[in-house]
Amino acid sequence: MDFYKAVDVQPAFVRMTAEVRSRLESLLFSRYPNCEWACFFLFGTRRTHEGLLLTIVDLLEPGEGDLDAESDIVSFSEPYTLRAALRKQDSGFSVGTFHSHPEGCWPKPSRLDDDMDGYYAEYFPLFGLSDTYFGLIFSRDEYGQVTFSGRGQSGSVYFRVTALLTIGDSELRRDKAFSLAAAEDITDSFQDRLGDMYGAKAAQRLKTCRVAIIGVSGTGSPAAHVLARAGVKDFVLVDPQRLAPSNLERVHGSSRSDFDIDPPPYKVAVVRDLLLSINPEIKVECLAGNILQNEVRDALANVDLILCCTDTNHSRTAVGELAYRYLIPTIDVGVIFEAEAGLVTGEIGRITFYSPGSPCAYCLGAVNSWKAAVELMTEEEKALRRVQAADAVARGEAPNGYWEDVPELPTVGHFTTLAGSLIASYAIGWLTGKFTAPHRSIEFNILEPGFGYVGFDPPARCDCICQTLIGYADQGAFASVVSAPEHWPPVRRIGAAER
Amino acid sequence: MTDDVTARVQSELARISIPTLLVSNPDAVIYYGLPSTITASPTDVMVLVPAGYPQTMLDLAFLSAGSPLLGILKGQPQQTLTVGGRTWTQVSYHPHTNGGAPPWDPTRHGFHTYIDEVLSWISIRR
Repeated sequence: MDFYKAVDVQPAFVRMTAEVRSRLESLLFSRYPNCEWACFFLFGTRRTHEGLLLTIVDLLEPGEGDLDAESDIVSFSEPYTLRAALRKQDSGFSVGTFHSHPEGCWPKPSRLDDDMDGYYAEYFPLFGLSDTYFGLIFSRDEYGQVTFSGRGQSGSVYFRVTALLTIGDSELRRDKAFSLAAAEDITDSFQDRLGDMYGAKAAQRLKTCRVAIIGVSGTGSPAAHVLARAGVKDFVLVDPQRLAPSNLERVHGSSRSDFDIDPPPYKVAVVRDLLLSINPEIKVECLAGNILQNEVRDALANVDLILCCTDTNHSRTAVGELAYRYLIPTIDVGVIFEAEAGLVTGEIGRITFYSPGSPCAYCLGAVNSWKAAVELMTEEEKALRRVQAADAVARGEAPNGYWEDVPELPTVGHFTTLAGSLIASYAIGWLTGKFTAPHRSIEFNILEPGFGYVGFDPPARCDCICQTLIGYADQGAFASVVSAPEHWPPVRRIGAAER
Repeated sequence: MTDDVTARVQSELARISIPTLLVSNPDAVIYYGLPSTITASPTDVMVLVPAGYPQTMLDLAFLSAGSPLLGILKGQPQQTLTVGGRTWTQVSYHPHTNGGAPPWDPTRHGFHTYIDEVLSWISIRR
């Protein structure tokens, strides 16, 4: 395979945990400044409409004699190569190579690298089902700045790695692949205050990240609003609903004039227009759909962070799964009001951080199985179950095996705006690495002394799949925990001029 | 069923030693030849793959229309359904809501655990 001759090349995105990234750099630069080093790695994949997502499952670190220690350049031994091929065959994943170039050298593939990648792209598909191979090159300069390049092949399709996303508990990094092009101008006057507070690097980081907001109503629209003003320029907005009159009270960007057209606009279009009014340079991908649907999941493959603002059981489950299988981190938010004797007694917010290795929604006990089932049921099944419940009562039996009402919990704009702004704040901290939330799970009640603050860091259940399927991507489908029901309408992509 | 759901169900069925069949339109699993202490001959049980599975819990069970177990086991016989070329009668059996099984958890439960519930169910008179 002639990588260097490939013409039609599609983008690929690589995701890895900060723990793997740290081990990788220690290994690759262990013979610096003059000598290279390398390893094989296992990775999961997902083909999307944008390109290919690679999720690093693990490094297959070399043992003694696996690489030629006498050589300045990389030379893999046959036993090491065969061992990697057999791991590929047994696991169902793909195998690739990481190697370094000497300090200060560009991470551009040499002709020798072309030969190596060409050989492995033909060799590894002979083992197991996957026909995907990738090779990535890293180098570091004397100031510690790391750059990389990467390319690969899946079947007959060629890819170039455009971004490397590293997911840590305290920082979410995005590194662009090496390019000789001049760096983008980083100044933006409306970010001055933010730059003063967090530094120019943090301000630049916000400009280069891509944030997805699932649910753009009460909490999602203020979160988008705050992030746009902070300098975020790339959004994916997901919500299946059109604006309703009752939404005016809490959806940022909505106005009475939205109801001059029939039907009223999609919520994603309303929030998109708000973001563009703040900064016309913002790029917004609008999807009228649900997080469980494949087209939406594809759009999430290349985001830095998801803000999950739907407060539904199936969304919480989905973002937990995206965190461990696809290495996509999320901040989830929900709000609830409590009342007694005609008075409001609680305005309660709950924020949860999901990342690879953190407990999933089931570990946290954050999913109500019955409510989740109702969220995904057809209207016909709901009606049938209500009838069967009534029949059960008539027979003197308990109705709850058939049906149990799930009351819709009302929320109001002042508090959803507060909660949405709060998660935008934590998003800024996580994306820039400037501050972190004190706990993985936070609850607060603004009507209680001390805001009723409770922070906790529950461990994952030791036998849970969220701890064993990290980075499995599509190859972990055998243990998927949620799926889109077929009766949901297909995802609709809302065009730039469409409302 | 989506590819993910198909992969998941097939993975669960691979963990069961008795014969099973995954059918579509409607999506369902048939457990073949389950032993019951009530009848001398083994029985087949069909369970639908619900919309949104595996987050949506497995619920209900179907016995072959005319099965001698209908009316004997816990749960009210309901409507009939044709699956895999056979007619089945739904029985209102709800292990994960009020039937004694733990709350549904898709990180632990599936067709490979539902069979345990079904095996208990078909050996106890109502």
